[in-house]
Amino acid sequence: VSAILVTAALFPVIGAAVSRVMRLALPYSAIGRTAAYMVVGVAANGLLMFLLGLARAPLDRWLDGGIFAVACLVLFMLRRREPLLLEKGCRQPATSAIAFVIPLALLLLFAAIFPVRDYDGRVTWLPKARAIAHEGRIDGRFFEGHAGLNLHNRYPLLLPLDAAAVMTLVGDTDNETARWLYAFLALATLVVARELVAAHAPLSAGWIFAGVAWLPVLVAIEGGATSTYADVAVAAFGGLALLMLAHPTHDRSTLRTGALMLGALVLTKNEGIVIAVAVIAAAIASRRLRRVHELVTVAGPVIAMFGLLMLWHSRVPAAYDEQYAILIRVLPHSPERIPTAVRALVDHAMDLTSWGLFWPATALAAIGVLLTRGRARIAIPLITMLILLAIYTVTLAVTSWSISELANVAANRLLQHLLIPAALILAVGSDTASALISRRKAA
Amino acid sequence: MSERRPALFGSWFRSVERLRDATPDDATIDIVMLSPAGRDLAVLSGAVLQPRDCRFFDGWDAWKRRERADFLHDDRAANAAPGPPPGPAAFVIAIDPGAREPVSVVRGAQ
Repeated sequence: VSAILVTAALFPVIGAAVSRVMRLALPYSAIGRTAAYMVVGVAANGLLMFLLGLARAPLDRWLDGGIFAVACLVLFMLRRREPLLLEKGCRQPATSAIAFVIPLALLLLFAAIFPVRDYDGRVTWLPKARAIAHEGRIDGRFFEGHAGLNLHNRYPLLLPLDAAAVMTLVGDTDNETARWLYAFLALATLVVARELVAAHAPLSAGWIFAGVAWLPVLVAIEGGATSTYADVAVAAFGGLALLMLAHPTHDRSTLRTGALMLGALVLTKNEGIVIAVAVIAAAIASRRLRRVHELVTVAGPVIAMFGLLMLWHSRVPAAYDEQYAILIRVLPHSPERIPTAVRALVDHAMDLTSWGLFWPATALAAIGVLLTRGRARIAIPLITMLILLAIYTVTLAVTSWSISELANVAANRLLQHLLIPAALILAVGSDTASALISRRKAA
Repeated sequence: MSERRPALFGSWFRSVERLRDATPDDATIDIVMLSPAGRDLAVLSGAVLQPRDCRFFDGWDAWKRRERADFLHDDRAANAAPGPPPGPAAFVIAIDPGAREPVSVVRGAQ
């Protein structure tokens, strides 16, 4: 219970304080705003802890408690500053809201009943969090390879730092202490995304997200919202950054919010930098980022965080970490593996037991929107997805693993990264179809 | 939750929890994997025993030579150097997934 309370208080309070200070764009509804505070809090706390860890500040309960106290103080001091709210969207049908809430409630129930069961979370990600909680450092004995077993030593640390903050404040380093961070982040992301997508597709967003919330992949033991992988956070930061850059209210506040999400994304997983670059490239290609100051606002944090990540890499040894230079060199010798990699990704996307009809419906929606000359409405999500699918295909092809074995453990998690852009395309496609049908009826 | 974990994961979890409760945080623990199938159980046990310094060995011969196990062999990854031979540990456990008790304490907190 204390882990739930700490998680539910720490991140939203920090998120609310950071939103006020940075003048971030927030959803209009109270529930959407609260959910956005959770996501912003996870991003901001992780970024801050990483910076402090690099500066060799002790990451202990005094520091975590201090950050929380400062956030409370900031909120008190800025209590008269109105949050920057995005335009009030079209109200979604109550039935779609009920259909959306039921699976989310069930997800919380699963999290309360079952222990953390995912393999990678238990042997890769949570040991990093526990090491930070015990040693108070991101370059201590564990990360130097002098104590214990650290698989993938140089994986980015944003989520383990957030999990360590909860563990430190609760005074318990059990796996389940950290799990609410992951579950709440998944829920908050879906709530925020539902409201932001409604700005593009007011008729369908509610029902599309009701469908997304029921996807079996969200409750998968490996990589689902009750697991302790970092892929849900990648989907959250990447997806919300994209929705902010694509939002009809295109101003400095949406750019700043998108930039914060992209900065956090770089420190969440190795794929983060690739996704951030894909989102920025898509925003440039679709002419959403045209001015230099816009580009600097969005790309600046990405470059800065990548630089800091490299600085940390220079301090800790690699241990079972991918060597991207070698993988890229292998690429010219692997073209015959690419069709197999494509087949593996498509097979997993078409797996009804994980995804239902989500991916075929998304493909159909994309084609429909393109045929009805609405490509500007889906340009950012579509370009982002095409870039990432190409990169993920190549990644599957160049590793020394058997493609089908690697796809079995990784494909659904990689596809999860594209969940929010795909949901946006699906919603826009669905709205386009509704408009066409209405027009035909009227004619 | 403490009852559900061993029920879901198996009896090994209770053995490792007992060892964790009986040892100080700075204890050194040798984990000897008696078969390749014991590798997953070994790394999961090591995670439960954190922050105790766990060292991993592939079989008793490697343990006697103090030669650490190398977990992943990926020619396109930066594999961790197994590290120098560790000194003797205060506690030794053996892992054999095929046995009735997959985790057995060989030396130390019996």
